[in-house]
Amino acid sequence: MAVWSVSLSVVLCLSLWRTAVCGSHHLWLQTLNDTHVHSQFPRGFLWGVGSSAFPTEGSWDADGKGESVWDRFTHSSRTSVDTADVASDSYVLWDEDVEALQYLGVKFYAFSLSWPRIFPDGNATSEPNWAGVAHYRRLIRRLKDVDVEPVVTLHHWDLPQTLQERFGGWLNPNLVDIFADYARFCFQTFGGDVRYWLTIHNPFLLAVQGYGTGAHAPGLRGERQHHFIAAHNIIRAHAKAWHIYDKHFRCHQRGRVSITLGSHWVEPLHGQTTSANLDLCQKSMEAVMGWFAEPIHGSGDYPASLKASNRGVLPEFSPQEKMWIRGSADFFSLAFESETLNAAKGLASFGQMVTLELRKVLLWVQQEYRDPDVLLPDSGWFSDQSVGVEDTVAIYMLKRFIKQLLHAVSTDGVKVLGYSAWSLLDGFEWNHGYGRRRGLFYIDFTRPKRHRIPKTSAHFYRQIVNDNAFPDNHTQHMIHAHFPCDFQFGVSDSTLQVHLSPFSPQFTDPHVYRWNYSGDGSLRPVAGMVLHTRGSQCTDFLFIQRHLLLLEAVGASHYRFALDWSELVPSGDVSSADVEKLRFYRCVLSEVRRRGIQAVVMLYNPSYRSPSLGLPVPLHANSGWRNHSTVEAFVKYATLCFREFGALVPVWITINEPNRLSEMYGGNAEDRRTVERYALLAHAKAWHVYRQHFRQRHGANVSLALHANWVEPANPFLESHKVAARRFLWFELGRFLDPLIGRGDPDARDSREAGSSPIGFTDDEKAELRASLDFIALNHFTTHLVSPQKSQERGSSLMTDHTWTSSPMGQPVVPWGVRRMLSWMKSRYGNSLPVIITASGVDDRAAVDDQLRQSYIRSYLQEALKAKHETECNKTSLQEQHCVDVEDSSKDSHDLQFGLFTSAAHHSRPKASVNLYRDIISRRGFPSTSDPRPPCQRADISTSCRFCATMTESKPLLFFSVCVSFIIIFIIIICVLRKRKKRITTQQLHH
Amino acid sequence: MYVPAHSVLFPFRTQVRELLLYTDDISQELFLEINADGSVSGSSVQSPNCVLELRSVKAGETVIKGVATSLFLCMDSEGKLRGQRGFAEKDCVFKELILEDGYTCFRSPHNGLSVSLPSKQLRQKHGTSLSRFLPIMDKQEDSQIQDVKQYFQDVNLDSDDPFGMGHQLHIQSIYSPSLHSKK
Repeated sequence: MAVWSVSLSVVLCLSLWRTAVCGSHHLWLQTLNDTHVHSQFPRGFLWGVGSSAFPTEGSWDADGKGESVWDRFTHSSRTSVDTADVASDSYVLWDEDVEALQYLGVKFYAFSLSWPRIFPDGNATSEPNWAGVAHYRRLIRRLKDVDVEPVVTLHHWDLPQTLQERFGGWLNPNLVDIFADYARFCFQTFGGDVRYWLTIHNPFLLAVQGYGTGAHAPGLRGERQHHFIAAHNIIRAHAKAWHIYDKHFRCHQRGRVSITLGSHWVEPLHGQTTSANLDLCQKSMEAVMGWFAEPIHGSGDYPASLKASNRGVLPEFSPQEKMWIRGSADFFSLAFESETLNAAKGLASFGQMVTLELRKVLLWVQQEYRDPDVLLPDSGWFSDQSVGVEDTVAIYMLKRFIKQLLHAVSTDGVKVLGYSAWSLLDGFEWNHGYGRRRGLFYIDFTRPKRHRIPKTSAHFYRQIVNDNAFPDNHTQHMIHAHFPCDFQFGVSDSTLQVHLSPFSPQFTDPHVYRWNYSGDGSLRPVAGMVLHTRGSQCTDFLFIQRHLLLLEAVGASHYRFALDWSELVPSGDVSSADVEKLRFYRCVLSEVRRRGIQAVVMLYNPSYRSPSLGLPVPLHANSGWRNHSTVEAFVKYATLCFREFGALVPVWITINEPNRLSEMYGGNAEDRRTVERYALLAHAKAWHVYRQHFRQRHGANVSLALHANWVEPANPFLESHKVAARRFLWFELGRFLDPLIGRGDPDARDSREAGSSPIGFTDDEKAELRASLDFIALNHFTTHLVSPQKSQERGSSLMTDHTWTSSPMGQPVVPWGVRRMLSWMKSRYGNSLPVIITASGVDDRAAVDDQLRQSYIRSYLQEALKAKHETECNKTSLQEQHCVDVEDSSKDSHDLQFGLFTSAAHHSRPKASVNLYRDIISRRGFPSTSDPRPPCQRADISTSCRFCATMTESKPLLFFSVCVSFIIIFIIIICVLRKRKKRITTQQLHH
Repeated sequence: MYVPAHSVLFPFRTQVRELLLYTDDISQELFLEINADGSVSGSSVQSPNCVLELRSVKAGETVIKGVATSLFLCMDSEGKLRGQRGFAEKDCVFKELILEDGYTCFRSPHNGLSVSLPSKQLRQKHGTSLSRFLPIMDKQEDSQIQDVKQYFQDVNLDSDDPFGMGHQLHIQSIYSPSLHSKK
């Protein structure tokens, strides 16, 4: 028995030791799951907003308030002229603050009491300043009336100046008892209405900035151990206050008490997770948050790493104190904001990288301090004062924090009680004065009356509070359905290069060889002997077979690629077209057709990879698309292609992305419009040539493909941003499609909005352009945010929402963008023309397991399916084709990594997304498991000739039955012959 | 391996180039590689051990470290190369000389010998042909390292726009993968 218990305790010790040593190291090693299931926060999640007394209250000496260390600090500062004497005037305008809270709809308000307003000399055993007490009573009463929970901080850095002068502030252990008296008074006076108490706000900053760097009041900059002593006393003061509450007030007030601890987050430098880096990261976290959290929420003592590196300067807790401090908090209160991050970076980053990963901090708290309840009373970033009310960037900072919070809550299961945006109002931001703004409500500090004006971030936060959800309303639910039968899946290539070699010479060599088998084994042609050879065949091009094998592996029904104009017609003159190259493309097309794949052929694909932008060199030298002669040359080239390949091509794209083409040429706006004009005219002329001479015979559809990324207004609460988004779409798409589709003359309003003129066609040209489009082809890759900018031609500039998943090259993955794009198309151009997405895809560096591309394909197809369903309700026909680039097989490995296959240099290996895409194609979408309905069948075969179908399906059986019947016939014949013979012989016998 | 704050390397910790050192002669083409066992050799293919970190520590002086193995390239007094975990200034710093033909030569200031790979024609000429290196970019499909770097970019904590949303405002043209994909 004794042995048992000993061994058991050894095991226990071992496991304890292991957790102690490993700590949370794996937080830096593990990749967190980023795919969240739903955007909803738990029911009853507390949304709040915070503020603090000194930066907002003003009235610094009104109604008997005492001077605080911050009053003294700002009044005597030589560097700053700003003071908080009036600040946001909240002492007077507190009811407007409550109105602001009601506008946001928050459930709690985290604010702080001003110690010197209640006790001017800090001494809580003397008579309080009743005016101050009455102010807070009024505020708390009103909050209760409007159903906003007060979360009250006792001390947010504004220590009574008297305590500083008499005792030296937090350096003096007497402050512990003095603070405890003050806390007792507050519990007693306000405790009936307060459920959440926070003793002291962010003691890390208070100690480091106030008693170390001197950036904050009282501005002491001295001995190294000072900030450790201040922190030591703060921890004890907190513990004492907590014990007072626990002992005397908890039973009848039923509140919870904690202390708000600031934190940063660090990641290993350059992502190198060496054990040395991990140790430093751990040490860094322990030196900032752990400094306070370990005594209060953990072991009762400072972290070992902090003690080891500050031996002799870090005060020690007695064993009784440790017992007394340990566990002196009812929940974990966390502050995560720029000041702490910055101070931590300077003091304790140890060469590692400070980052804004709120989620990881929450995970750290969960793992280090035994999964406590967490409240976030202070979290957020800041804006520059010049930003004013239109704080677009602040929206996305807030969005980022909330996204991380959502992950922590719903994916990682951190028990977060509530989150508070900081802060309610612009105020005096401590050492940054009024230059930095953290409020959701804007205040103009130059005006005597401090009106509270909601910023756009206030509208944004209000929406979140209202929905209790992260504003990512689009991609959540997955629908289970088939794509309709007219939906087509394709694969797209960029320009398909001509590969005349390698070439199989076995049927083209006319010589006869003699093989010196017994000698040196050489082959020597026999002189004078020449054989007839077989005519050249498409199988001679070894490239084609190999390349099309990849297509078959995907299982798509369509293959889009571009012809190389500069190779086919190198001189620009079609009379000197390269016959061998024409033959190569004809071979490609006939092989594509033989495999039952439909070719989508692009005549001209402008590319930066070609020095002449894909044009024949002489045309490029002759200023390319700025010269009208290129239009003529293009029409002739197109005619050549229609004539040569027409019978093999069901879909033609004349020009790829004319809206990008003009940018390739640069120049001023007028120059770009010339390029656009000529490109559109070239398309229209080619379209007319096809209609007149080839349509009847070949019946293909002809269009041009536009680069069509979707845009959202960067700031959805500003009309100017919405206008910018409309402008952008008009500039990118409307300008091109309107004249082609023949949409009356709607340009007037749009172009007035865009502040730039349409491309500018003559009436004859307009007539030529009208209706010269058989379908709408779009290359859709991603979605951007736009904000207005006058200096740009299209009147807007692009931004990216950094909460969106993004590819290594920075392309955001925004699946719902494709749906919005399609519905925009429908609303603007109706259902007259089918829409085809001719290119879409994402870069992914993974050589085989391309997770990002897989999720891209899956989610974008989901959204396309949703779009299809939406529009089908309105009886439309939407034909669509999803294409993904197959990586070209030239040897250059410095590539965009857009391919479904690795490059030929890497043996054209299929990546994982090939399987996924193939799977989706074969099931025609995302059918639910309970819906075994087979995908589209060729109705004509199954009904018109069932026998033929069965016969073709069972070819071996047919062969077998033919064999059997042959044998039977043969046997019958033999039998008949025998009989006849017999009869003859018997007859002869008879004779 | 991290650079401690008191090391002479610390102030220069960002002056880093990540590349491969290519060298050739008539008979072979090699990349310098530092193996995990500390041996230094020439590899005919680009292996992960060929990816090197070149860190400038002083004008013209460079420290070379294998990225995968975290070993410093060091040279003993006889010119023999090895990969070494601890950094020794005497053995692991090289003078970087750029030759007329664009190749680079790494010479130990201590003993005047050059970094060189053993040539096949060892007997004919000792180490002259394989001491000229061409630094080339690393283009291997190595997703993991790059992805991590992408994710935790350095953020500017003093800015109200730490992720640089506003910086994109000046980009005039819209990026289209179609225009940049290979011909």
